[in-house]
Amino acid sequence: MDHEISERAGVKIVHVHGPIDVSRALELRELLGAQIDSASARVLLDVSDVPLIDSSGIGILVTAHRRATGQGARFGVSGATGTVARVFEMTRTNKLLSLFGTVDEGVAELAG
Amino acid sequence: MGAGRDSLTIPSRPESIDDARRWVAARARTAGLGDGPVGEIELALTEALANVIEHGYDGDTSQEIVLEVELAGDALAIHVRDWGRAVDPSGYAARDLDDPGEGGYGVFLMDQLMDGVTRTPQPGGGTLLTLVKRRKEGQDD
Repeated sequence: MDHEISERAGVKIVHVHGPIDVSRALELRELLGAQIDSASARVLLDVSDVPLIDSSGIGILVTAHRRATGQGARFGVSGATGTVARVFEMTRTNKLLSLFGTVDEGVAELAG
Repeated sequence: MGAGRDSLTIPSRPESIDDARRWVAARARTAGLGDGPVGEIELALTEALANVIEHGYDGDTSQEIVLEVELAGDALAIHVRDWGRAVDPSGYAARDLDDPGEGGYGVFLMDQLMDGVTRTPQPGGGTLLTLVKRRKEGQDD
């Protein structure tokens, strides 16, 4: 999965590119699992360059959220637009996940 | 693309889904659908193919899936033909949207995103799944 990881104000920003579907879900699970590794982990997944996320991808994000919450870490998702934003609404995972419009908003919230 | 059909055969591998999406999206755009509906078609197709590969073929990556795109009037139909095990979607537990989990959204999303979803068992085995999206005036974002 094409991605970069950067860090700002103690928040690891995982910027992924391209569609997230069943062919990439396992890789995303491992990528997020490696970042959400302790109670102090602050991880923001930036999906502003993700044009599509399928049900397997949604499942990975729900798992990442639960994993983070379960160990006292924090996990958020930024930059969802178009069909990706709609999928969060349709599946009502927008009520569960911490969604932010931009990376700046996500960093400000997760770092605080 | 005028009226008529166009087909693509892909192997039953998750890595083939990207090729299928691009192929169908190009034809949907040519048929006059905008970014919004095309994105919805791409997602519904992704769920359909994932279901065929995972459930119809039980993960066997050596099988084939044939896609056809058909434009009839204001409706774009995407046909997905497999030769796998027939899977009854009513057999899936409905996703409890108040209790988000790891799976179970696929059939729900297809139904939500498309104007029609039909599954027709085929003589000799397999299923023809048809996803229908109508062109709507002013719905192009």
